[in-house]
Amino acid sequence: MFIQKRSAFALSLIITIFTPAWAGSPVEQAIDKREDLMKNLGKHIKGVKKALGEGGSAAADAAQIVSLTKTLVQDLKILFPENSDKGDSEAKPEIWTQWADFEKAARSASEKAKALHEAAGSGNHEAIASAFKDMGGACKSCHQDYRAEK
Amino acid sequence: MKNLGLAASLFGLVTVASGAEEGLTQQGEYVFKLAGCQACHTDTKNKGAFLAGGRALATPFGTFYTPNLTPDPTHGLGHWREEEFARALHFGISQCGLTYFPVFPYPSYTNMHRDDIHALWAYLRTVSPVEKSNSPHDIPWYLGWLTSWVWQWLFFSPEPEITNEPEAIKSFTKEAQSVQRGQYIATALAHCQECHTPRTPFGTLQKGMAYAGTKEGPEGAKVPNITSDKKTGIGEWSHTDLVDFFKEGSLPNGDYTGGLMAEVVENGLKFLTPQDAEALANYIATLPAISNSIRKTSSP
Repeated sequence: MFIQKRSAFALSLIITIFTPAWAGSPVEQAIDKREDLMKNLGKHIKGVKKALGEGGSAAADAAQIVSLTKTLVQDLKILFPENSDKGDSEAKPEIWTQWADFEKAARSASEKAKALHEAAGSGNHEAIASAFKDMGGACKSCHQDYRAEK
Repeated sequence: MKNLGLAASLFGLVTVASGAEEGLTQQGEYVFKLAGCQACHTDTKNKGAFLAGGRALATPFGTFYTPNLTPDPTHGLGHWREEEFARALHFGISQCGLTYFPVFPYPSYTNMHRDDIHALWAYLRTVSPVEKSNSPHDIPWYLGWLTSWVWQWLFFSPEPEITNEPEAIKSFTKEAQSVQRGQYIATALAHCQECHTPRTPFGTLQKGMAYAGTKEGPEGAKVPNITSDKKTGIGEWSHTDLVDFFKEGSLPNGDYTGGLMAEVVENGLKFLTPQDAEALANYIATLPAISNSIRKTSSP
């Protein structure tokens, strides 16, 4: 019985010590979360590009891009908490020194995504290509100021 | 009637001359964009005027402030002659005869054809002058003009001065001509190797590591490996991936480039003519594979 109690205590001690390392700090969680969102965004951007190159509908991918950029804007503060440019991240410190501009850049990408979705609905290849280029420009412009090279 | 004829001929001559001049400045603007002059010589971060200099370039040797390139007579190139400008690009020597620090990428610009330098000069004369003084570099005391002279004497050999593409290239196949043109754009104009090649403690490019990327790039940034290595470089990229990257900054995984490279695309590479974009892609694809992992993932 005593041994069982000691084992339980030792186990709970180990869990207490190592839990933060397993779960990651809130900042690390935010970095993981935003990287997942960006990777997912990239996947659907690739989908639109493929539809433009090979034919087919870009509507489903464009709808996902709208949804993801909407989350990006809504959760911007959660995804980019202060000081989350440290460690395993390519975010630049300018994000927090120029927060209003950063927020504006995220909103711009979201607006351009909506325009892409509308164009995708029309099925007009030229309109989709033009809206896709605009949205890509918004992504690049934001990355230029707020993310390191990839 | 005779006078009228003479006037018409003179008018024709003036029109032809101004047309030729316009063509020259257009060519110069193209060279200017590909050579990436704007990114370093405009302090965009602090909303500085176009080409008025003052951008801080943080390097392991200290912080350098770029000079004013506008035709302002006091602080810019207003009192420069074209020969002096060509000497600066080709030999890395300033108007007053001092050697430049290699943070000014003259070891790459030394490959620039004289015709392109002539056009670039013509374009720079058309830029609005800005009366903005140049800031002194923030570097250790021992990095004075003597150090830059010694550096140049030890590590730099100017390339032969060439007016334009050598005639011999015309006998090459179309593909080889394209690769040659791409190499010229990459080395003499866009000076890709200056950022994408790791440096020695002396600031020279590491031999045998051309374009293999570095963790200590300009402004402390990581610069990806762009050799054809499939795991750590861009060996998996298709020709279209490369052309799209130059045009839009888009990466094959649906992402977009950032930082300094986004500036390079925005101010320069996106203006490549379709033929030159193809040429640059053809050349980049020939870079020998070098395994050098810069990031945790294989994605550059």
